[in-house]
Amino acid sequence: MSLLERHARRAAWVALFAAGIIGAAFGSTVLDLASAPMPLWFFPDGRLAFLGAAALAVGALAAWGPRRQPALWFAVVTLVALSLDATSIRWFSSEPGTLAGTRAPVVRLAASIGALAALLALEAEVAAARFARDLERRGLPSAEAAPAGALLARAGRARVGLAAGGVAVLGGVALVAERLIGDKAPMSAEVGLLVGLVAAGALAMALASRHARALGLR
Amino acid sequence: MGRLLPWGRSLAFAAATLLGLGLALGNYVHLLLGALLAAHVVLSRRFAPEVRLERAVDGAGEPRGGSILGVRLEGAVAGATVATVHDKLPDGFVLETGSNFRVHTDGILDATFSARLPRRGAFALPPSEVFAPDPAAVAEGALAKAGRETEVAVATAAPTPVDRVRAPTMQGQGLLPDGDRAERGTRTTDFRELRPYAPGDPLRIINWKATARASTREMSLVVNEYEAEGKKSVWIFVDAGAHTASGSSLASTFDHLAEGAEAIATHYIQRGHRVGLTLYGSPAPTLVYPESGSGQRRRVSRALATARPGETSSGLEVGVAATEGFLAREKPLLVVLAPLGRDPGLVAGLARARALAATGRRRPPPPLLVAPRVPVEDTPSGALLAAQEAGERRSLAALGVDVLLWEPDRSPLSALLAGGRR
Repeated sequence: MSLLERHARRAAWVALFAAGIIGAAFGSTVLDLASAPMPLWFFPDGRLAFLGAAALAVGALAAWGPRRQPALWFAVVTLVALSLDATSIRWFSSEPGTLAGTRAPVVRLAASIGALAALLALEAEVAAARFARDLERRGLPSAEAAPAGALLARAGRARVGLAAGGVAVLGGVALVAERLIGDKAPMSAEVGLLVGLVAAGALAMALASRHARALGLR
Repeated sequence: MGRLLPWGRSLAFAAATLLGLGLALGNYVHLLLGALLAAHVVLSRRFAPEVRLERAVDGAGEPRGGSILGVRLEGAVAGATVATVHDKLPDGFVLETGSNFRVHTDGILDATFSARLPRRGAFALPPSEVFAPDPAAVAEGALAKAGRETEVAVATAAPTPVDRVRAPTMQGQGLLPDGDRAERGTRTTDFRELRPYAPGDPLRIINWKATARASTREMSLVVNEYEAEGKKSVWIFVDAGAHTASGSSLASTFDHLAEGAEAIATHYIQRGHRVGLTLYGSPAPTLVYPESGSGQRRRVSRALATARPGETSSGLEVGVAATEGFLAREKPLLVVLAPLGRDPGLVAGLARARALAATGRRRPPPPLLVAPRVPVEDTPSGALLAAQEAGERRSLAALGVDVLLWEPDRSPLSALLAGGRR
């Protein structure tokens, strides 16, 4: 893997991370892009651009800088804040449970998962490059070290893909269950969640079993 | 299963935060995002490749300094895309061919390498370390140690073969073994005398009645002394004091002493003698009990290879005191390898050893002192050292010790022992 390719790949992950953050902002009533607060009636609304720039900055710090934790916590705080309106499951309410009182858009959920998955893949990419560099420092020729780093990065991406895919399936099952069971049915939340968990668990186990060797589980 | 790295701990904490918030707020987006991070951490924690590796070390039996040690690795790693195999080489080992650090991407471990051994010493070749990094960089990765630790005792390079030893009259002037017999004494277990117990005496020869009589105030063990029977014995004392650690970068004084001691020991063992060894110079002298046969040659070689000169120094007197029991029982021919002028107790120690080794019925063979010449600088301290050496030589001559001055870089030990210059 050439130097240009390596940096291009990192830049792609950073861009995907920022896109995920911005995508999560769409439709969020917390950010409320549709009805901006009063000061923004007079000034250009740059909140989305600011969010994207911040995501790019922490992403770049993770890709080429020494620290990745700022990007992780930026993503966690932002996605938690943007998803606050998705509060839907009433655990202890006497009212009939609902699976999705306020329906979170599918795009927002997918974007949130994509942002976190991009960050995890970026870390795997950086760690693989560091591993290859370490091999060279210990005397291996770059013709041996670089392919090993590329293979390790690929295995890291596969693992991130497995986890993200499993969670995406879980979310999809929950959304489908919500639509099938309805938000007014008694205990629909518990039933939907249980069905989703069982289905997703079975799918994850099947996938893990199929790709156990590539994932390093066997 | 490796420990979590800081990144992994952050992920686990973030997952716990998201899951906690999701449960508290009933927010399934938070729950799903927390599940994503938690799954990523759990998958890394379950990362445990299986390693099967066999290592064959060629040349670790009785290696000589400068010889080549060959290592061959065969095995497989299941469950990891990339794995490194590292065979740490002890200090002094020089890689000759191949590499002791490799990366494998196909799960099959098959490699060879060779290393040149250092001059002398005891080393341990640790097990091969197989490391499979965690692809997600969440945990430390899996580190497995394969194979067993291999001990390598490197003896000095090719000891000079010694065909005959000239000096001791009792041991014969001619070529051995034609001119001498290894068996000595009559085959008897006749009691000879009582004497005080000395370290090395077996408990079964303690005379308890005599001990009771002698122990008026404190315990004073007395042992029976029997006429020795069996093979003739040779006892080799080798100076391993701090002063023998000096020398050139190619070989220290001790290296020369060890080479000479091994050559002499080999000479006598090949001719059927029992050979014992005392390495003195450190606080606790090292003893190799007298035996004969090829096994004893290996033991002597190993003791010389594993000696670490340069520790706290003590003299020949301490070495003789630790060997008293053997000297009194075996009545061996004494061979001392030590530089002159360094050990103040050399003469007294030799006198004591000779007295212990005396049979009482006939004149004991004169001890043989092989002293490698140590270069002396043309300085006042060098002149003082030279004067000390000269004085010591006179004292040794008066004692009847046969002194052979050996210049390892110029004359082979074999020629010197066979009748060269004194």
